[in-house]
Amino acid sequence: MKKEEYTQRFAFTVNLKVREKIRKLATVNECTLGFIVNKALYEWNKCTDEEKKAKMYANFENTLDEYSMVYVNVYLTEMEKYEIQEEAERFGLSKQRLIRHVVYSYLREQEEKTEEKAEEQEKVEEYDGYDLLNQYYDYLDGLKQLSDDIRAEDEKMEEEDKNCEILNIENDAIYEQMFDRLQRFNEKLLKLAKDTEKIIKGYNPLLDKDREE
Amino acid sequence: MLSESDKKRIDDFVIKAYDFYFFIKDNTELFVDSFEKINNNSKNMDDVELHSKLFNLWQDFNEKLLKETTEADGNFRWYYNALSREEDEARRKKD
Repeated sequence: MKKEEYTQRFAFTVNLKVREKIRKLATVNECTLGFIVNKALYEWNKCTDEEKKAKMYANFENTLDEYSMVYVNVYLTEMEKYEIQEEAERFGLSKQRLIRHVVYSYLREQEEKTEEKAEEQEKVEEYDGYDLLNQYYDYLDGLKQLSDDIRAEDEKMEEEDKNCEILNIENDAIYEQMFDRLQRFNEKLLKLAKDTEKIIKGYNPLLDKDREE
Repeated sequence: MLSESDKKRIDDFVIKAYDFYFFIKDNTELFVDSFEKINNNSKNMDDVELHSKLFNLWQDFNEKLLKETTEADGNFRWYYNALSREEDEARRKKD
């Protein structure tokens, strides 16, 4: 029997509640159910913190049925079986019982981590909502400021232009100045537009998510 | 000396520089007005709707701004290069 088939059988034979937890975790992590079981056992084996192991055992709830253990056992490699056997003896438990509580504790731990992550994500998104409004206002202030600057320059230019007309002289220097001002204005605007484009790209996925919800 | 096509391009540039200025001036005013109008009506919208409207307005305006300023930047660079070419040419002739 292939590993995938064992995995599938395992999924059908475990208690419904646990099966759902394993399935959920496997979906979130985009992996197979068997991988989750193996990962749980691997984590248990490599854990050297006795206190943590004792806590994991204390959290154990007997929700996997006996029959499913046959498939878990088949699924494990010889080395893993040996390691589990050793661990079980150390804790004075049956191998099956050890496997059950290891898998269950792992699932519980992962569930807690997922909940914590979701809470953190929610906080970040709330902050981003307010942050976005601040960015709009910064952008508007920047634009208004630049716009006022150029308008003031323009009025000054018009005045100088009028004086030249009155005196009936051509003043190329005025046009040179106008271009210099326009170029400086453009540089500032270009920087503002480029910086804003980066910000907008960063917000797009967040807002799409908001709209979907 | 600048070629005839360069001179023509400088004349075009002068028009473009003014067009650019008026584009920014008009659109900035329009953008600011639209932004304030949406914001003033925000009581009738939920947060998602308000954010979407402001964001779309911002994104559209910034796209236009980026396009116009990038194009103007290229024109300004060309203009100043053309001017310095002309000055170099004049200096060479004088020497």
